[in-house]
Amino acid sequence: MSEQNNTYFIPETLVDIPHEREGRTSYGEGVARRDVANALTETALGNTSETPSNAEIAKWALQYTEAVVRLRTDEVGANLFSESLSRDDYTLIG
Amino acid sequence: MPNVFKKALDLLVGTDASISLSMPKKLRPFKQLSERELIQLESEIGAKLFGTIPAGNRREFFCLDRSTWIWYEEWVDLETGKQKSATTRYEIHDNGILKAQEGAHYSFLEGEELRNLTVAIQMYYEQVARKIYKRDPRTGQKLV
Repeated sequence: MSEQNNTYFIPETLVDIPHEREGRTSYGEGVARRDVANALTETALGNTSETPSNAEIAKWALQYTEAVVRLRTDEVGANLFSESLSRDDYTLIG
Repeated sequence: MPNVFKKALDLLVGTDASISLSMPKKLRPFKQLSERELIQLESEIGAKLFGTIPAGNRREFFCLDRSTWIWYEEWVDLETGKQKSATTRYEIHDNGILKAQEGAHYSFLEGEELRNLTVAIQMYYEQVARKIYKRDPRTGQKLV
């Protein structure tokens, strides 16, 4: 890949997602990219035919970003709890 | 923001070369994955959202924190044979999403690029929720 191609590479290449050429995500029960895009502009942003503003799209992105961090934080927190239990177990055994 | 780039690079390269991206080793029986290891797993999914990664390239795409996404790509320049890399940081602000590239290139995303990134963020959430955290992305409930 040339350097030129990498300068502004990004999400335009989203259209190349292989599993969505079949119209579905790899999970089978997931949603097609077209559905996601429609949800982005129609449902989640107020079911309007108007083009959402950059601020509205950013707000939408922020909600998903926070959801990812929440999943991660919950997982790490659960792990800490589980490790704490294991230490107690060792203490009891010891 | 050099600290953000350093944090991102630490996450990408890491300080412990023994950690495998695909199957992190459990150091102790009850030791689970750290935040950094979880981000590495998420990034494996994130990188694939944008299609096939060309042979010899390395790509990372992940959520760094509550408002930052990182795109990292390594490739070999066919003309010089040298390895190149580029890091792009996306910051979510109230008025839009700012793209920051090395060399102090800053610009707010517009149009299709903004829309595509947002769709990618949604897909990232849905896929890591199912594949890594085993949760239904719509309800948040644990998948059986």
